[in-house]
Amino acid sequence: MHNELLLELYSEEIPYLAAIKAVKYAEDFFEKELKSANVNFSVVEVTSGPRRLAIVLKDLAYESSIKSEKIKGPKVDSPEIAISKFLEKYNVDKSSVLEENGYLYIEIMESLNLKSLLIKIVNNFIKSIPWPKNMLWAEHKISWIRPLKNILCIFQSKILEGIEFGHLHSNNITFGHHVLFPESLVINSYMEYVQKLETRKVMVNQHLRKAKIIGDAAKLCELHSVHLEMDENLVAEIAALVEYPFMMVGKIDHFLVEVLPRELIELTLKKNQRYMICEKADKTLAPLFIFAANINVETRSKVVSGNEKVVRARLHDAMFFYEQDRKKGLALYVEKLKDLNFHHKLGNMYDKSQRLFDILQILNNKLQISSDIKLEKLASLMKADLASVTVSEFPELQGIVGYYLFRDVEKEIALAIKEQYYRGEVLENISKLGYIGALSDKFDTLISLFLAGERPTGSKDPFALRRQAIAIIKIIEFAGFDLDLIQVIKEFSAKSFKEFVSDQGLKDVENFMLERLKNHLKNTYKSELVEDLCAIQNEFRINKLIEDVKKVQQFLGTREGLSLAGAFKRVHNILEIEEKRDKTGFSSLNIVQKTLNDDEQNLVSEIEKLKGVNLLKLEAIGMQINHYLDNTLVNDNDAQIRANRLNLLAKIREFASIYPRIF
Amino acid sequence: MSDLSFQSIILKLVNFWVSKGCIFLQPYDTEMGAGTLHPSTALRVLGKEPWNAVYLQPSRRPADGRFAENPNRVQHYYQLQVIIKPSPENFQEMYLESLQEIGIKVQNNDIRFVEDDWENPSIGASGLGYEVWLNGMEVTQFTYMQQMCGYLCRPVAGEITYGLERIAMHVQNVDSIFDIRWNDRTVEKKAMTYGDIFLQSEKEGCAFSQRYANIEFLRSSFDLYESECFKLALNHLPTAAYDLCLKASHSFNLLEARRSVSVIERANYLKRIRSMAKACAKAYLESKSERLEEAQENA
Repeated sequence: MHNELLLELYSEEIPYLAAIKAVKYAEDFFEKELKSANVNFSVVEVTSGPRRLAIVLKDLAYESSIKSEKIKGPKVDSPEIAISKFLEKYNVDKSSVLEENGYLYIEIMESLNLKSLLIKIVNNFIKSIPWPKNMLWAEHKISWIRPLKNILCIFQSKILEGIEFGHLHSNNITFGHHVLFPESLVINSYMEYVQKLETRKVMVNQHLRKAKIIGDAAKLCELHSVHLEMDENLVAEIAALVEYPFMMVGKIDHFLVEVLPRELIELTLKKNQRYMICEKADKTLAPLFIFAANINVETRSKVVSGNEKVVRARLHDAMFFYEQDRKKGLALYVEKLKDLNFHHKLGNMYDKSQRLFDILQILNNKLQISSDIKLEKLASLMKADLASVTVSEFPELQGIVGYYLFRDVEKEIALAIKEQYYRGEVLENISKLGYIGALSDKFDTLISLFLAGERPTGSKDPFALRRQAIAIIKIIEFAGFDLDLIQVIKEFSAKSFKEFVSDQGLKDVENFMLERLKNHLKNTYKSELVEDLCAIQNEFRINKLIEDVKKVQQFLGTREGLSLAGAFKRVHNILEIEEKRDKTGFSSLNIVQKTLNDDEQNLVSEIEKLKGVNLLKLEAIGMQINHYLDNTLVNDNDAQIRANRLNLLAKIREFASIYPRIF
Repeated sequence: MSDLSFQSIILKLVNFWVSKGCIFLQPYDTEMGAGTLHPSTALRVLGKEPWNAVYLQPSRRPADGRFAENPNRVQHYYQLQVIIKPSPENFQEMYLESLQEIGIKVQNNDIRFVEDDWENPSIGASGLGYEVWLNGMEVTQFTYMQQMCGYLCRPVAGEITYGLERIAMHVQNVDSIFDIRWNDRTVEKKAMTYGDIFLQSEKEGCAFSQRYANIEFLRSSFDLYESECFKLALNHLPTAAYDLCLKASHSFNLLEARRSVSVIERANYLKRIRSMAKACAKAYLESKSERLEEAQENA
């Protein structure tokens, strides 16, 4: 007899992301429950489809079939009533009671029933699935992601009775493809489940559906001499929308592909319609799309023409807007920026453009990338597409629409308009003008909003200020710019925000940026290093700081670095012991110069020289300190000499405390 | 492939739902943006009483108008609304059956229920359900109503809203709303098209809502409707109060079409409409001697 359990939860269409999470939850849940109950299994497999979530557990067997548990009761000398209550609770008589260490115990032997354990586990599972949203339907008391219609649960080829969820009880039936094979069918095993459903046009396994989608799509592309664009997430989403994927090709009118921005077509096809796109040999967009139908019909049917119609309607719509914008041209939208709000204290987008020119100039003064004329043009046009009709219909295309509307006028500026939204995520080929355009927009947003009093909280950051700050850091890093952020913030605030500038506001921005920088660095470098090195900075040059941190981390791993750290540690330890003994602290202020010997004088003057110097230069001092400690008896018999030596060590300790976390 | 006229589609769908036990109601006589706002849905989904209705509702969305230059977008169109409380077990299957009635065969078309969680914040309504795709095009909204006017729905009503023009364009194989045949042609006469009937009013309606509507008038109307609405609700006249809530809501839609509402103002207006709807719902429930749990207000 196969110790196989099959559970299928059959419902109305499950939202794609919820299904993915449920699969993960189911895998973890059953593995955990079985392991903790000491049940062996060969397989825990979870499959999902638009209307079903199925779990199969194979070769289930108990580790051992007897379990015993010892239950502690009252003390041996407890009153009679307490003892009899205890016995009553567990339904045993006095003869079964054991005594141990003055307490009464009962031993319970359970000849384990795999079935009843599975019933418990499955019932718990169904109740506990953490759907992102739960809904009610009709008059039922249960809630689920979508109306749940049937629970199939079989164990050893028979219905596992006892699975209950609201008005639903387990049975051994399932249903084929919702429209093509809606009748119920009886299932006795997982293999039967997979095979019978396959013939009824349901592919239960989402991985197989994904593979079919990719395989068939690729074949169709070959037929049409185009190349499929592989998008993993899109494929997963498509697989979650069909019970059985039948891939088909639809055509797009050539001129739409030629005139409309590619990004717009992609947005419409991929995001709205969940279609896959293809490229021609020259990497341009092919006038085709690949889609998955849930049924198999001949290509001349309405399925293809219907989908083509939708694409045509949507793209014509988009064309309508895009043509309006092309006729107007980007420059004409600059004035309209006055109608777009930015923030109630900071004016409109036109005002923002003015500020963008200021910050662009400030950045350019340091980086010498472009000319004032170009910067002015960029600043005035950067945000203009926000007032275009295309962007108001497709807000995701901001920057991109601006690029297309201006690329025939001045390509360099057009490119920078597109690149302003670069966030430093991936090493893309961004132009220098694009880098400072991107920086300027983020600097303005960050600084202006902070000075206007906006602050992100732990849970709310509606202006995405953290993202802006992180992006600034990454961009500067990738571009290799030598910029002092504190300088930039001060200059920009003074130039463009005279009414708003406050010392506190500036401090807040600086601290905010510093926190983001530290977090960013801690991803790669040791936390203590980052904290200490950032603390001693009085300028904020990101790339220099990154270099420093990198070098220091390297150095501390070398023999010299370890020797330095070791030296400081010895000093710390000695002082700790002696201060405890004397019940007093030692300090460099108490050093008596003339009592110092030559080595000690040398040590003191070296330390004085090295104050404020880069940590990397401290190699030699480490060796010197170690040498001194190796050859000196700090606890000299002479109290004065001893005190002086300890004060000297205190001086070293003070020196080390510049880097409190490293040393 | 059927060649049904627009009016035949309406008749067939209505007859279908009548055969399933729905009463055939008429459109509401106040301007509204969706069939859901008809008191037959907005008020009737509240409370325990069962309710099964089908009705046609002209929907006005002033901001959607494109002066009849866009073949797919108009500011006035028709929705067929079905509301069944409690929602039936085989609601999806009933819907698919209804499509068969108008010649849309499930074996020849790719019909999908695609996740869509629907919300109308102006009347504190939300539901979970699907957009129904017919060969890639959204033609119907299919919703299990979870809350209405700020109250939780118990039991849950199922709502189907057919986008009639889209369905007609599929059935008749035309590419523009204005080419939809409204009636059947006879030997003597050609069929009347949607454009024959509505082109003028569509264009003029767009001009009105986007250019001519008097902003001051609309703003003060909203305020007046609002105060009257609350007054009526307090005086235990919820159905009369709801009329005024609808009028206020439509005034707001016109203000939006005139682009005279900023982002912050918009949120504020929606909040005010929601409060009106809630007051009406509260009074309505009291009139039925029912109590319902309030929904959580989202931040």
